[in-house]
Amino acid sequence: MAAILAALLMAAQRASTDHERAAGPFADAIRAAQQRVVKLYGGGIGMEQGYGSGVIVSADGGIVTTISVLLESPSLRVVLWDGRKLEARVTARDEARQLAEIQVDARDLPYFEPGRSDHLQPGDWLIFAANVFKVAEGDEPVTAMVGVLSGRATLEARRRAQDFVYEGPVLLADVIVATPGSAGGALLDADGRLVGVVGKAVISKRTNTWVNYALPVEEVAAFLRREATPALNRVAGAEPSASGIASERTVEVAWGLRLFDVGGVVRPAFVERVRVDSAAARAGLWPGDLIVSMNGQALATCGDVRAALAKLKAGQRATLVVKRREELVTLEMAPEAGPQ
Amino acid sequence: MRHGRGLAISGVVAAAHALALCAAGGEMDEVDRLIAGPTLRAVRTDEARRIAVLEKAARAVVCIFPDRERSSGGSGVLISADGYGLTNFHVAGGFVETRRGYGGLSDGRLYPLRLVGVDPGGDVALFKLEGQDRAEAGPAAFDFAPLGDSDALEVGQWVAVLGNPFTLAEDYTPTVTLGVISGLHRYQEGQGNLLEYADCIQVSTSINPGNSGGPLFDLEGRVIGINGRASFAEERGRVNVGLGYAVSINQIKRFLPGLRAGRLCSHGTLGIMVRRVGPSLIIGAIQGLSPAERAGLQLGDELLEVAGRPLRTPNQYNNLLATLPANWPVRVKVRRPPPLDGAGHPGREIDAVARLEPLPLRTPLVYTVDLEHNHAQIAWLLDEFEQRNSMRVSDRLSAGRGALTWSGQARDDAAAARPFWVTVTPPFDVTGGAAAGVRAGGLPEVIAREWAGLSVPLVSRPAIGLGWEMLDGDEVAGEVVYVVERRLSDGQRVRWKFGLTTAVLRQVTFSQGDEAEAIVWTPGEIATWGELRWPQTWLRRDRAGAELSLEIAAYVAEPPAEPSRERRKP
Repeated sequence: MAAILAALLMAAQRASTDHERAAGPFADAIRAAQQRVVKLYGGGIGMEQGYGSGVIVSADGGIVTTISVLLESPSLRVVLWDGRKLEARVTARDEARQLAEIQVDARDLPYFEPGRSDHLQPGDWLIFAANVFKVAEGDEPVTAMVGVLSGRATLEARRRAQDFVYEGPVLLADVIVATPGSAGGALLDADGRLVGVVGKAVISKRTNTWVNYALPVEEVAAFLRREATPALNRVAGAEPSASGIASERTVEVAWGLRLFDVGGVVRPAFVERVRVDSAAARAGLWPGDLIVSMNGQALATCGDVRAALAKLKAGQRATLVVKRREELVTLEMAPEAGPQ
Repeated sequence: MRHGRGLAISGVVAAAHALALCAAGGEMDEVDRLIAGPTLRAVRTDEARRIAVLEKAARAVVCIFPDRERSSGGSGVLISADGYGLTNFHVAGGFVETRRGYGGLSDGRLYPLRLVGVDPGGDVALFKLEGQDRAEAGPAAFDFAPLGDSDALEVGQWVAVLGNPFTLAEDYTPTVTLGVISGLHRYQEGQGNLLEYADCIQVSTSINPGNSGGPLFDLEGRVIGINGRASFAEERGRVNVGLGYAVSINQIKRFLPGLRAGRLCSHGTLGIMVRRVGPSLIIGAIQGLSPAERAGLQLGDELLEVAGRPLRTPNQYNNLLATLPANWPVRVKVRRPPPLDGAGHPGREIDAVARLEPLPLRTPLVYTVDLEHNHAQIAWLLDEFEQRNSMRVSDRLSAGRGALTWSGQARDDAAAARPFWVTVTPPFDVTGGAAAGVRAGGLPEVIAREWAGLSVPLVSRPAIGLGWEMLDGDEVAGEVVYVVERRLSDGQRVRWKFGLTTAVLRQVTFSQGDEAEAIVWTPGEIATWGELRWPQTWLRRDRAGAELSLEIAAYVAEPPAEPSRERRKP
């Protein structure tokens, strides 16, 4: 009830204060968003699109976006609101938050100062702006939509067969943002302040539906301050995370092991790839193995394996049992000597 | 939360319970105050208004089916009281051969429907509901929605979509979805030059299969577009993900005269290719004998504006051109680069007007004009003209020597209707001899003849038959007009052009076939006598560009005595 009232009240106040303006109550916020959201283009792979969105966070060309295959493109291109096309380079990544910072050579850009989102209550207006379906080209303004905040929650979600690694609270939006090209787009409050950055489209494991969510702007600010995150620690090979779950990338970097969630009711971790000269290779893991247990603990999913790997103390060995064809094989895995 | 706080403070269950109740009561009071307060009242008023607008709008929405089995379907919207409505070509495509379908209204009844005109390039079709069942209610029996102005839209503005998604309305009551305009001037590629959505409206409003052909409304209940497409995420099936596209109503208005005439409408082309060179848009190729070449445009000209819109990219050019019908007049502004030795010279700006030529349709579709329908539309248009301009055609008389005389009932006198008698005399003598303002040899005869042509729809209800046709629309001084053509026995063509929404006579042209060579008559000031309105001046512009202004003399009198009254008797 309170939430609905809040939304209605907001509408009423806006309707009255901006009554005479033909452009409507959201026009300013939308214009602000359209100038500060960039279109990203690069190479797509498989079903991953070769386009996305980013949010300008500094006047000299700092842009925040979501981690995606786009960032692996040999050429990552940014198109600004005025149609300028610029080459971008990746300057920072945060695997746990699934955020990346990219940089273009530009000056005096309009930008968002990442602030706070905690003033928003469920039912408050949200404005969404992104390069959805790359409908807008060149200097054409990006897509704008209006919705409300549904609430805040943590996600148990997946991206196709891969588990979604971000574990913090997200903003759930009653506006469709889980669409191609939207990742890295902006969510604003009705006053035109950035409150969130749209994450990659994921499916809720509970409802099996696409989740319309954004990372709260506080996470963006923390990332830009380079505040240490659990995932960055893990990638460096140091402490296991508080949550105890390592990202796909951590497992891949630190152990040379790429896991694949095969889906279905029973979904053991399937070894998709083993990097040459990696810890996984030296342990004798083969692509095609199904991981059954580690150090005597049964592991049911990719997430379980990552969690178990993350809990290993530095230098600790792991005894793995894998199912190879019709056999159970026991393997000893030692971590890499130094950080990757 | 509130109850929890109560518990924590008291620590005693009973007290806590009481406190919790109090707290809840207090909150309710606050909510009550909010509900009674001015802001929420404003919201309620706004909502009540929106509901009323959409309720009315819903009565104009049609659920369209190709057959009585309603095996598939789309949506449409009525735009006139006599049952004309808009939908998508791809909805009407299911019955384009028979031109017969069915339309359900929110009164729960299914009406037979006739396909009238089609624009496959723009994915638009005009139909007419055959309201036999409503005959007792008179000819103006259908609820319809007025057309808005899609050039005045703003991103972020609330819009409503009404239609029949998933054909789920068993009683034909349309589904309402609400959203905002997400983008303007969008482009969605077609198949070849079919079903192309150029300069279209992007909305976040939910649009699903079955919404095709239905109206996009602003919150004043005006039709601002026809919904027909959406972006779908392929792995999720054809369901809404928040990106729908509507053909803008201003594009449709340009095609409406041709659609109403029952034609297969074509889109136009200038016959040039443009490319970006630095910051400029340059004509990079120009077809021989194309509209652009005939308008004097040259290879290398810098394109500045088309139809009043400044252009910077090839996309913008293509986006705009695809919204214009064949034969449409288009103003083009270019900058001609200076000659090679004119170093430092910025070049000169040239304004030209070109008439687009038709883009050939890449489809085997054959769609012949139903002449009977076409002629009926001319009769309807002349009726509109009379009614909107208070021309009392039925009372009219014509007289000899080029003078026109007619009577009417002057209703400007509040006391009683007063009969009047008006004679309008052209400033020349039809039988020959110079008259005021006309001196050139032979001119009086020509002008007298044109005068007779000008007067046709004004002085007599002509028998509309062979030689008459309602054509595609045109634009006169920025207004979309209907065009009625009459071919005379000597090969001369007279075209009368009436405003799309006002039915005002905007222009009359006389030509020997080539419209570019036509003599153009434009009515000037309008004089009013009683209910009668008549242009007091006409401006005549001939092939050579010479202009002649004619003032029409008129006098008003009481009805003459017996002889004239005799003539009025049936």
